[in-house]
Amino acid sequence: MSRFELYSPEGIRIDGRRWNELRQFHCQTNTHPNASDGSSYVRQGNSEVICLVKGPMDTTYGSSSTKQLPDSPVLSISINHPAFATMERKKRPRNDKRLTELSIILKRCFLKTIVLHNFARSLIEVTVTVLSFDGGLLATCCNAITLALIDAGISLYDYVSAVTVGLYDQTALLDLNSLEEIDLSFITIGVVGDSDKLNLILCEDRLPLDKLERLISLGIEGCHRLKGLMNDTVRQVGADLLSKKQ
Amino acid sequence: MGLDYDISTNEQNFVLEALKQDVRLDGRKLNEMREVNIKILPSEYGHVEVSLGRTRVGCKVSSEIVKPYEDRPFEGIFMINSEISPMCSPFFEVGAGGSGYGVGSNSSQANEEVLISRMIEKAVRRSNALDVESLCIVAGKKCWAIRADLQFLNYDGNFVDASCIAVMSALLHFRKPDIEVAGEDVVVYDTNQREPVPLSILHIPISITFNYFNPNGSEENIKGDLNNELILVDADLLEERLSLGSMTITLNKNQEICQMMKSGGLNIDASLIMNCCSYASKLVDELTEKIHNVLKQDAAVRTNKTEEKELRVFNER
Amino acid sequence: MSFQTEIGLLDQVDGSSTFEFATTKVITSVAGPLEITRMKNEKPTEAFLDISIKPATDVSSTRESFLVTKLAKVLQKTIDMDKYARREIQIMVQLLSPGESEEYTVKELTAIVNSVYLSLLNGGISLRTSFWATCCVIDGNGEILMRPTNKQLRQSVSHHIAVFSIKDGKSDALIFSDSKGSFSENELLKVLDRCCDDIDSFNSKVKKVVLDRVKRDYIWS
Repeated sequence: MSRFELYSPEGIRIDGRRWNELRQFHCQTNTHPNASDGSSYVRQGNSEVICLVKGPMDTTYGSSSTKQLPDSPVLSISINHPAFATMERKKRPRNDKRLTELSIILKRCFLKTIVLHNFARSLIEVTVTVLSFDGGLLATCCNAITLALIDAGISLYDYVSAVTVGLYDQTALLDLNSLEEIDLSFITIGVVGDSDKLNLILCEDRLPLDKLERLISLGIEGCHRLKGLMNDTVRQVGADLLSKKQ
Repeated sequence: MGLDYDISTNEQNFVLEALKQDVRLDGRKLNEMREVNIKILPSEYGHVEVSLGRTRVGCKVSSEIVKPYEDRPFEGIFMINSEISPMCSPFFEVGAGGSGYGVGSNSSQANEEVLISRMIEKAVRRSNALDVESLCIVAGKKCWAIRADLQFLNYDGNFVDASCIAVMSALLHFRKPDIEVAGEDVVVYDTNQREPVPLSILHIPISITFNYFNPNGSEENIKGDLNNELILVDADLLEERLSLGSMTITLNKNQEICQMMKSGGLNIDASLIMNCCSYASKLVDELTEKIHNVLKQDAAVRTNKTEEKELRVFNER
Repeated sequence: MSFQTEIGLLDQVDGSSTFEFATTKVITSVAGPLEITRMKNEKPTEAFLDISIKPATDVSSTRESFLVTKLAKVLQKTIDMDKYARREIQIMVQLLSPGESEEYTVKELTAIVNSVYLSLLNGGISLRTSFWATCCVIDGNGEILMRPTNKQLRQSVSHHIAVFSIKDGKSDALIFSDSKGSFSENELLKVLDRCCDDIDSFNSKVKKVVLDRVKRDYIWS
């Protein structure tokens, strides 16, 4: 594995970034105006994700027989991870537990961020499709969903931005690509707005406990930067819309 | 769909008000775990029943010799079966986690089951608690398949922590039959002929679950700086249903995180999360100690038995 | 040789019990009568029994479904099915230690039937009759051994299980019998006779266990 040098002594990572550098972040909203109420496209490095949001709508139109809740919407999130998104064209089982787990995590995350009482007895359907995967699946999906929900006009308390942070020896690395993700222990963290409050944490590998603090603080910083970038795009789109109307 | 677990508003308010005053319904402190009871069934190796208060989980470990996976010829196979049956609570449904529901299903109990099984899987299997390479017998041809079957008997909250303890103590207790390899032939010795051998366990991951409650409104939680969310350890069923979020962290004695998951829910300040982690590591040390003690006691009982058997054989001669 | 049991040990279900005899141990639970969970299972005139059996190791296979059909036969005759029309009774069985090799099911089935009986009583499900099960083998010498060990089972020529209803403290009618192996009609009749006696010998203990539990349940009255 050491053919690649994940982090050179000069402090350069495999794709030429420094330790605290994000990958190129590009996002767009309202990419599919006819197919959905809100949509977004997010690219973080070579990870690309589109997200479609339908709703809020009547629960009876939902795909499954969903139960109405008196005080909050029914949020359904599904993640498509097609075979063409990865290098390995492996066929995945239809009920991939890993994707189910991610969608549950995201669902619980957004149920605390959407202003629930505005959408009682309704259904919000979110579909995420991974176009190309290069690390940070959960993080990219989370960012895409935030933007799509904003585009759909669903009221949120604040942005949720997520990013991965890995640990190379003693150094924390921000926003890993898939090569780094395979070799390093990493965590995904999601932050609401500009606060230091964490909404989601996911760690699947072994990691020394005393390094956690460093990873989290780097992650929070990264999340805030992402939030800024997303905010810029959303404001830009809003300004364009306004100028067209006048 | 399984039965819904409905809690009346009165009951909800009662529990929350009590929590605000630092009291839990069963008299515990917020940061106190329930009594952990590890019972090793005497009849065989690797069958353990763990109770955490009234939560009861059994785990039975078994082994057989099979062909290894094509892509991993040097590794044995380790499986954890964590299917939840309605026996522990009618809230769970038969086979809900397996099939018959799509990704993004809304049935909350199916979700629960997926999360529980994934967390145990990550805590024990992905963290390499069991050295699978030591299970290889003949590369590419024969290997041990170890399977841990979890039996969820009674549900009173916090299945993850209980099952993690159950799986680990069952694995530590389990003995597989001794074998001898000559070329490609394998001789498996009966447990009476040769003492069976223990598995090679690299570390003992233990999960600790925290549940969060919000004494203020949700807006304060997102925008405010009070950071006075209530955090409690090892919630029971009622608390688990009422809580607004949970975090499970799996640690071992070497202060390593094996798995950590905070799936949405209440937003918690990073410093509070760090506090939880260090507190968890203290609990993990205690629990690891406890598991070792139970195993030691059991080993003492068992050696007495074998000694007796040997003596008897000697007398008969 | 006797049995051990613990009744009403689980608190999320209506009735539960463990049953252990001759190294075979099971735990069963009964929940019901419940609202029907799947519409297609609804029966307009009687209860729907949702039975599932989980083995001690591995996931349920055809062997367990086989046990389920046998258990259903016993229960359909003994539970007061008409009383729970359009309702569901959920019966879960978890084997804790099989006590026999995989090719046999006698001991497990015996333990399951007895444990389910105790669970049903504990769950307050109305029954048409009391019942009890026992099993035996006929060995190479034509001798009948009640409640065999795994070794005896493996050396046997045939094995049998019988479930009798109980009336006035005596076994009454044969509800279910299942035999496998080679045996003559005479032998089978003899086996049933012996099973009958065996069940009678248990009766007082069963009664005591159940009464003890009821006393505990009604401790305030």
